[in-house]
Amino acid sequence: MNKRLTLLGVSLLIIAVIYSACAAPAPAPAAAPAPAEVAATEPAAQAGSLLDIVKSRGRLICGVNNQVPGFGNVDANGNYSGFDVDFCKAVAAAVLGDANAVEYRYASGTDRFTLVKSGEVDVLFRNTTWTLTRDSAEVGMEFMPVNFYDGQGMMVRKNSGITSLEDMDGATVCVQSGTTTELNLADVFRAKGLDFTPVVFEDNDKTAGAYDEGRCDGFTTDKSGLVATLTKLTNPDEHMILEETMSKEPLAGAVFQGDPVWADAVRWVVFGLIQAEESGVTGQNVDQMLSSEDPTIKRLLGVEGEMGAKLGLPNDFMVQVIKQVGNYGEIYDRNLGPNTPFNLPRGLNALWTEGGLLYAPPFR
Amino acid sequence: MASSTFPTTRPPFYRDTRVIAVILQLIFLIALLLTGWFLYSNMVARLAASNTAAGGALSWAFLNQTAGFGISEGPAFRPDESYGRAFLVGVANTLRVGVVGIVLATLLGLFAGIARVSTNWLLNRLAAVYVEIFRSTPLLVQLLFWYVGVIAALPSIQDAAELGNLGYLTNRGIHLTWVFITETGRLWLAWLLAGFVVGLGVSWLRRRHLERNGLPGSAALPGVLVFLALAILGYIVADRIASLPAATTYELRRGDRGTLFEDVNRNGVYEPGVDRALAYVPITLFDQQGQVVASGITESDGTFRFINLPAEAVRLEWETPAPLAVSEPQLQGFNFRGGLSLTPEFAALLIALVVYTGAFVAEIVRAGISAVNKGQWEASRALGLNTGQTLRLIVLPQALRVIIPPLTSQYLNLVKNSSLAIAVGYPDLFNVSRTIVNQTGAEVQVILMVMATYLSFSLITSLFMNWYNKRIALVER
Repeated sequence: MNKRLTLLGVSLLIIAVIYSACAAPAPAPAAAPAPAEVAATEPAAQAGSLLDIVKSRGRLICGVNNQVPGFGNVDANGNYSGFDVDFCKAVAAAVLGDANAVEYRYASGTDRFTLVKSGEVDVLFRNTTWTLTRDSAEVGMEFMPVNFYDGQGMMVRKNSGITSLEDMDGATVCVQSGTTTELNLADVFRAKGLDFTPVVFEDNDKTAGAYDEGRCDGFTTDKSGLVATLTKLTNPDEHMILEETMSKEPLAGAVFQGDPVWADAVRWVVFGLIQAEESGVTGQNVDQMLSSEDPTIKRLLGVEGEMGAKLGLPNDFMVQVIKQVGNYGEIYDRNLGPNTPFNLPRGLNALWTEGGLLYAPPFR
Repeated sequence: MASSTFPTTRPPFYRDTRVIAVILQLIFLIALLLTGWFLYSNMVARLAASNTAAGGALSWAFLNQTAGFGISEGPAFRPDESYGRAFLVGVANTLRVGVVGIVLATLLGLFAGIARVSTNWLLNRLAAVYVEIFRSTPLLVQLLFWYVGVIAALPSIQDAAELGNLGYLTNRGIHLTWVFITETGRLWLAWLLAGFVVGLGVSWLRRRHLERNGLPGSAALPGVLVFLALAILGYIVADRIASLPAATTYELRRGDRGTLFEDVNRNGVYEPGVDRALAYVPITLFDQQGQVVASGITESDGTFRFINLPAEAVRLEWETPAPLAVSEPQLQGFNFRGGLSLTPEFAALLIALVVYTGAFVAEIVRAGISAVNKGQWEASRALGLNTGQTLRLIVLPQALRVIIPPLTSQYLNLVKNSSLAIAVGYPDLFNVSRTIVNQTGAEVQVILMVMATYLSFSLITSLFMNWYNKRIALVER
């Protein structure tokens, strides 16, 4: 009897300690020097804007891909690089003044929105297609301006005899789960009256790996992703990407829907990158540009007006961004341009002044 | 005399074990409730903040929305069906791998467990090696080994390895010639059921007769014979009198594919859920000139499909099938059609679960057998029973008492471990649910559904095993 009682007492004590440790921060979530981990998971509605949380934490938690070279990839030393990764850096430079104050977290196709909604990541830059459902309260994302206009494509083996989607009747197609490509695949084949069997995997590496092993006749994802993945296959020369574009895939960053202050800040960092390219401000000439007479450049770089302050950012936030990361064109060239293995033409991703779709609203 | 040495007043309440017990339990309960409330209010606050479904209330409307994604295997599913149905397909796929897995793991474990106590040195050692290797490595590693290392290394579909007339082995899966029950087979199934019941009855009567008169002999054999006789008779009758429904018609698309179905509402259009697809019916396709362009049998979902026909078919004829039909896999276009196909995903998951769980079952069986007193073996041998009879009649019935409770845990583990399917892309309950969560944003609802489903699987398995445990315990006295 006594032994049992002692046991009960001890376990109760343990539970009580654990409970008080967990529950302590709950009554006062806004208490200033809360540890970073606690702040990260604290509901935004109670704790003010993520903008304040990121500032007080001193680093940005960014959800990225780690398996798509050129967009979001991690090398053998654990360093992240890529087009989307540079957008994380730009946001960190704008908010914290340091492009390297980023903690990257891998967001899989299926759990990326949950990561944002639960506050595990501050912002998601992970080749994510902007769709109505994802934007709605149902999935609960707030989308940033499109940073890459893409379209879905299909990769097949050169010796398979497939030259267009029409030839793929009855084919098996490898596709990643939780993506718009999974849905488009079904739509496109349904529309053409063709049969197909999807084989669905959790991440890009497994999907591409299964295709590489011959499990599937085709591998489908965004065309940029196909180009990037092609470099990872055993014999890249044996494969080709079909001409057809199966869908519109406007890729954009996303943040939690209930936080307009944070959304505005991130949104204007993306616009700022586009505007900087349009105004000809680059990482090299940004210091000279500070003395430019052009009012647009003056406002962009915070020399004139209080543009940053209106967003809760330093007025010179774009100076930091451009200095440390570059403008949109520099980010593009560094990751996807002619000097990379991908050599993707700008296409739709050129500025509006050059026949593309990139267009930033006025900085005023 | 003794009364004067003991205090007569009650001890203070904090030294009274009965009071302390109540107080501690109360504290524990309150702490538990507070924790639950904290977690719940946290969730509601977050849901409200993200405007997900008005004010944090959980909406279930998504279950009726169109899913829009395909599912590679399991009960026929089209992308225009609902999320609710997609979930059910996931449930069916989990059940499929779970039930087949439990049966096979039990057989494998029983065999390996008996081999472990065998006096045959080779058998004994082989079983020991099997158990130690597969019990001591993580299941996920084994799963990926079977999927990537074994099945993906099979020949590609163009140069499939032929297994005689049995089927083909490729890295797209295992394609077997298989016997299927056709539409007219439904009548035969009724005969089979009747034969089973009558056979059981005959066995029961026979056993009673044998026991009453103390006669040796098998009670099962007459029952089996009666069952077989009725099965054969039923097959002949079904073959003679069964026919396809009068409203049978077909839908032909692109001149080479379509569906054969019973037009229940007689509107000439195939509507899944309303009309009934007709499986494994022989069909012949004719072109404009009345020439035969192709022939074959419909698949399990009533569909048929041919690749590279010489001419476009415009008409189709069907025959009344026998109760059983043999379907052979044939390479058509990119994949094999017909026969029984086991996908690499299903095969890898099933093999991994069976081999892994079988190793644990083997140890449980070995423990059960070792738990039976050595005297039982010796007494049995003294009575003149051979090793097999001793095992079957004396040892295993007693060992079952020890075996069943831990075996139940292994069955539960197998079903729950099947959620690792996600690693190889098998569309089980968990895998499909993840996709549904991603597309609908209904995390809380879907996770609740998944938990409730696994919980009910486990409870049903436990209930059955507990019932069985009680039954054999009674026999044991």
